[in-house]
Amino acid sequence: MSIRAKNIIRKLILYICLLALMAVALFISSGKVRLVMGALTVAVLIFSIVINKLSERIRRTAVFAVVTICILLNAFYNVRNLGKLLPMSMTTNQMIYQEMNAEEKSLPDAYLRDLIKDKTIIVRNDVKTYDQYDEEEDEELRGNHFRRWYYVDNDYVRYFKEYSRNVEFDEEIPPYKGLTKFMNSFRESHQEVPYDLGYSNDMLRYSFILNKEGIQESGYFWYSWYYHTFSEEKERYLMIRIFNKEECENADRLCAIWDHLGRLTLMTEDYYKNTFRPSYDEYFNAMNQEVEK
Amino acid sequence: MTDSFSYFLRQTAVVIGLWTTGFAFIYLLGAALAPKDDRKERSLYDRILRALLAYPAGMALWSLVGFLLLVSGVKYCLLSVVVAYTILFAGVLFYVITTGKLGNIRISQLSDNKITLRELIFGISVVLLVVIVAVISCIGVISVSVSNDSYYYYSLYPQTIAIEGRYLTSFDVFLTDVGQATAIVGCLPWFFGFEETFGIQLSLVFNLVGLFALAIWDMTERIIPESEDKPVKSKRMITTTILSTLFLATATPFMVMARWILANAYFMTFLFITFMLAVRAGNEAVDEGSCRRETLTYSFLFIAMLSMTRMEGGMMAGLLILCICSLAISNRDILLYYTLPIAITQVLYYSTIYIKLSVNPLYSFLDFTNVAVMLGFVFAIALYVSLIRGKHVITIQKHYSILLLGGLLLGNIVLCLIRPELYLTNLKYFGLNIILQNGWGYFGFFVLFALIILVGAERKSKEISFAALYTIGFILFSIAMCWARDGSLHAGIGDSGNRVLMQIAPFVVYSLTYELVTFLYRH
Repeated sequence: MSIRAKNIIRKLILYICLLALMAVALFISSGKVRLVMGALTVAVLIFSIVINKLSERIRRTAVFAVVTICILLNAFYNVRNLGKLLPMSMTTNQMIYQEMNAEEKSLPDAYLRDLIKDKTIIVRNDVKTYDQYDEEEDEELRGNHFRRWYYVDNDYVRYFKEYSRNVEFDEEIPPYKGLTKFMNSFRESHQEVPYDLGYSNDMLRYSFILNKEGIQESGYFWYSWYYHTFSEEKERYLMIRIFNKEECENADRLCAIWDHLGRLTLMTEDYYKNTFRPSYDEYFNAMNQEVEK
Repeated sequence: MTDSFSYFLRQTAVVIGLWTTGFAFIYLLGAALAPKDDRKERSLYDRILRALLAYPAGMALWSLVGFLLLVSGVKYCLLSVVVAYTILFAGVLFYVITTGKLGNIRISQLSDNKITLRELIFGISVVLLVVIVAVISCIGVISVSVSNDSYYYYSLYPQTIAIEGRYLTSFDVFLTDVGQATAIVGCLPWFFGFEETFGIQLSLVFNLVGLFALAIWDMTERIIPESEDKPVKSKRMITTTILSTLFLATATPFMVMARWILANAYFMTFLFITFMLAVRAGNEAVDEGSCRRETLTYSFLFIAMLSMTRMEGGMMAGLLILCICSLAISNRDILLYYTLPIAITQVLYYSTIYIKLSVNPLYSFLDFTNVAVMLGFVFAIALYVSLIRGKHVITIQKHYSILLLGGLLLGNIVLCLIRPELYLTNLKYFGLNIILQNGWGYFGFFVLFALIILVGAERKSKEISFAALYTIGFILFSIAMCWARDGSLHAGIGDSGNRVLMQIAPFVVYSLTYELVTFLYRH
């Protein structure tokens, strides 16, 4: 076979491969894209077939024209679609602390870090060590052999210790046991809708870097994330809620309370003392009386 | 929130500071590595290259110094960084003085140190441009995108490093999944009090565009033949450089990588710089008989940085070395300036996290098997270069590019046979992500257009160029890497496999430009 024939066959195979790829791409693409790119493909194909017969000048001009069209189409596409592809934020404010994040309930702890950085946070207990917790059989977290209460107790405390101005301990702060039911009743009775920062799941995913004990916290997260993701009980995702957000932003001291699922609630110390705590005492006194009856 | 203006100012100052330290380092290094009483006049290209390499060099210095402090167990804080910088600069200066190369440090190109008006204008323009780029990047006129990984991997984790000043076992999957050099760049805001890195990243991307333009300029200068009418050649070079650079700068995958605050923009930049310097070193080896030590030493710095910018950095740098073997660079230089830095960073890092810290996360990208494969890969490259390359099997050297691509293709076929479902799913989503424009825009179509044109074009040389070799190799290697990670690719812009592939944009544009320019002007 002559070199010329070989070249023709080689070219033919390459054309077929490329055009097949192009055909698949056009077939999957949407209407307008299909039309524009289809037309351009035909033009480029004709140009490619006759390219060697054209004068150098025409050839160069045509290639530059194709590239210029591509640049313009690129720019057109980017202006129209880039913002849809990737949520863009203007950096006129620091991007992490943009209001948009809080509104869209993304990066909840980004706002939280900003909120607490110059405040004293009051929590119930200081951090305890892993060996202070017993191993447990927990049906809810199938297969997760990590000592769950260690993480529930300590993750937020470590976080506050790292990112707030100061952490104080007050054993009078309600423990997480029984708090979930009370919180529901409190919200109903006080008609208060706390500001919802969204899921704090990711925050806890990464709070383990603050762990100085060398406990493999990512493993715990991985198990819980996995089971939460594939569990139908989506409510078990961790949440961050703030009572009276604006007052909290201006306050010097905040109380932090979380339930057994790690749903965190923040409020000002005044709000805690004057509104939250009396309701809590009242609720549990009523509960105790019912139990006694 | 109220601190935004002060944050912008600080970030701008840091960008300028990185450029200044990088420039000083490159300048001193250039003097130290040049022959004694070097009287050779630097070309404009050389001077622009130095100015453009300064910022990435400053960043690489910052990251590598931080990395060495962290793995050596010395407290990582501003003081230790300053001490390390002082030792480094003093060391280079001492070398310059003791070797009698002080005369090489010249402000002017002229031997009597008189600054001409042209030089003055050049110097002022460079400084002004640096300030303008820094201000535009940091002042908040360009929107950027942040995701969970931007925040946790490249903000919260670096903040914790800055607070602790050392690696801890509890950093856990951050040590196995995050590119440490990028995380150390992320420490800058926490040392200098401005909390964000978008300006630092955007400045680097502007820098990359400049370097890309320079690389295209250099390429066209070599390809386009001298004509009797000199301005005609210059006009052609300018047109090609502008069009090619504009095509890259507007390419959707490039835009996505540039504006998404993640490690990809850093990785893409340092990979391109190392690639570009390799092209230059190869040309020097052909033109001058050997590579300049200056070019090789810059490569040493940038490939070390590259290997730590993302977790798979060592592997990708390894592939680049395999492609560099197709150039005329000597075995000694490849071993010393390309393979050694990767070996140093990888061995130091893996021994720190797996031996010193005994990190063993339940879920991570980097496990023992992957580490063994990465180190084995670097070791195999070293063995190939020192024992086989250019010595025994002549056929290998003659058909090296074809053999390398064939080997990669064969490797992919083997992977496909081992787990066909995973491989084919990855391949399917790789294609779908491009066609469905998940971060790719019309880029896939345009590449096909260029290839259709090139098929029709009758080219004299059938050899695979270095750029094409690395581009095709990168695609095959990335698909193989995606196979090796846990879980398959999926349709979506954010998939890490898709992001790795999007980093290829500068290489695709460069190699297509190379092929088209070769056809148009060497026909």
